[in-house]
Amino acid sequence: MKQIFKLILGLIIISLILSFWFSYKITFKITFGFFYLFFLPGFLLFSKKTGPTATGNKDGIDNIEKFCLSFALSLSILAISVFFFSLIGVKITLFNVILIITGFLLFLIGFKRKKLSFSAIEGEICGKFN
Amino acid sequence: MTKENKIIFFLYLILIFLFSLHLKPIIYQTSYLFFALLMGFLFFQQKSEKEIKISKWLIIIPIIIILFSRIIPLLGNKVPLGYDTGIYKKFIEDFAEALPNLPDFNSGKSVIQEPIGLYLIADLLHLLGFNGNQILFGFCIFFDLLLGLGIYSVVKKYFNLNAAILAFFVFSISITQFQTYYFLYYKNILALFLMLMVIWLLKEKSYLVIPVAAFLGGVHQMTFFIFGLTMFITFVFSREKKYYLISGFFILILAVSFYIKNPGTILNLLPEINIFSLISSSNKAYSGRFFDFSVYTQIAAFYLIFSVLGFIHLIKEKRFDYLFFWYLLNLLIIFSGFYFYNRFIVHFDIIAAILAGFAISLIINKVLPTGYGQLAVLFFVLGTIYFLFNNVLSTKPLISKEELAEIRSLEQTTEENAFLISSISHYSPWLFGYSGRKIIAPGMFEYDTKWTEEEWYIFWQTENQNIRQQLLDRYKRPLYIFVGDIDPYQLKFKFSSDPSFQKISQRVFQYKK
Repeated sequence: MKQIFKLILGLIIISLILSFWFSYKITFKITFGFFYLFFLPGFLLFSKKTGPTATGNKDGIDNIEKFCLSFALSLSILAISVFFFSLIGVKITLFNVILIITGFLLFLIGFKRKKLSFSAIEGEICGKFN
Repeated sequence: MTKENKIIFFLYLILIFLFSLHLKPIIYQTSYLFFALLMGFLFFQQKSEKEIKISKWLIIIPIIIILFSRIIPLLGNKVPLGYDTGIYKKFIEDFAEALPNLPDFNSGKSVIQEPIGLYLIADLLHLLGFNGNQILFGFCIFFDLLLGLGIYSVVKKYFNLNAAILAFFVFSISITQFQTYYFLYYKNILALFLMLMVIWLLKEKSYLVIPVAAFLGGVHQMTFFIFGLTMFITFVFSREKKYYLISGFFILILAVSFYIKNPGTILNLLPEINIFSLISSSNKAYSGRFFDFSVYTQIAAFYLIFSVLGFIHLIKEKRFDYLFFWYLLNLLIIFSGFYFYNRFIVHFDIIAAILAGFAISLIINKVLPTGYGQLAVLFFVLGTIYFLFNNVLSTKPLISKEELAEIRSLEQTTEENAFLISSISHYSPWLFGYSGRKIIAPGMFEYDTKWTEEEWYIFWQTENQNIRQQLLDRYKRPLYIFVGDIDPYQLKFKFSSDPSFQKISQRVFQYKK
């Protein structure tokens, strides 16, 4: 619970900093929307890889690697899904995109329910810079 | 030195000598060879027993260097940076205007000739509330930073933490990477970041590589080409053929499907990528707008040596993996004069930074324990930072603010259905993005359909007004020509003495005949 609070607090702080340049409504939309669309899908996909990897790198996977991979995966999944949904006639609106990604996230969580608890995700996101 | 080490050291010397051939003047070449020799001896010495652990927090240094070097050129400049800026601006706007759909690819617009990956992302950022400038410049800096962090991730994965931090540092002080940003090769930057993540996932043998590599294919064809080529060679030499075969198959299917709406983007490229017709180093027309390898060796000299050492180390360790083939194939592409070979220098610089970071991490263990060694490292760090910022501070936009203002004013001073000829390719992207008119540009966009390459040269060089008029008569009216301050063919002078032209502003002529 404490970690969820930290995460939300972090996003709120970013929103407040950005509000020096933009309106509150826009900054909250940008910060939370960006996190939800451009980071979370990739992060959930990748979240099982936490400790030292099979390839023998003793340092394991750190937060920077996780951040980069989450971002790359989210970008790719987002672009691919939006492109294919638009091919079958789904309009590219923010509501539809959020719906698509929410569906994807629910699928992922359902698929990995046994392996992945939400507290593990929180730990990943809010974990200390190691 | 063992016999094997002697052979490898000899190979290193040959490679270094080949690179040094591009260096001028002779004093620079000599110092370079001397430095290379010294580093070579240090590298091939016995492995240091004491392993120095670089603090992870030092990663802050390259992050700060990247942010400062990318933001400084934007401050106080009323004219945007870049060469492709206008093209990206126009396409981002075209995609945003078409929302909630994709643009009409059958409308004959030049959007047909572009991979759409970047613009899909731009659409989503637009939906979140970001404006064109934030997407164009802010996110370009963000992706450039991600590219650096991508290098860190890959090097950490393939080598170790020390090498990762050092490779990230090499990337941050690379003038080539700064120039890539300065020219605003946006797709190139995003695609290279994706390619690094793909390499990371390939090492992990993860099937998550499929969406990332497929999206890479939808963002930038050149980067996808070098990725595909390297993956294919790795597949040939790999024992785990099943993994490469399955992932390669799905990557290809998904990547190609990004071109369902605009297959011309790939099909138009095929006749141009003819290995036999294009492998010719003298073919400057297909070299791509970037500096050539001789300039590259000058500005990357101080880490190119280390990259060769890293490459040699891979040979020594018989690590014929993805990084090895990337370095080798990229070098071959550049030296063979393949299609857009100068633009492949950007890709080569990334793998050079990766291998250089690793080689430096090995040398630093032997150097840092001594006082002189620490001084040398300090000189190296400060010298390279100085070298980069000297370049950053002397960087100016490619066109003047007066030229851009005149291009912007064309929307008011010319008719909506007017055609506008770009006098030289230097101005084409700016006219395309900022004039709001149909652009006829040498070798670019959709309206350059009436003249061959030879006829463009006739248009530029002829002193005969009738011949020039005959060429211009092929186009519909109203027809304008923009002649900027860079005027190598003295068109302003030629048009001023030709009664069929009317000067409507300082740099714009109307063809009236």
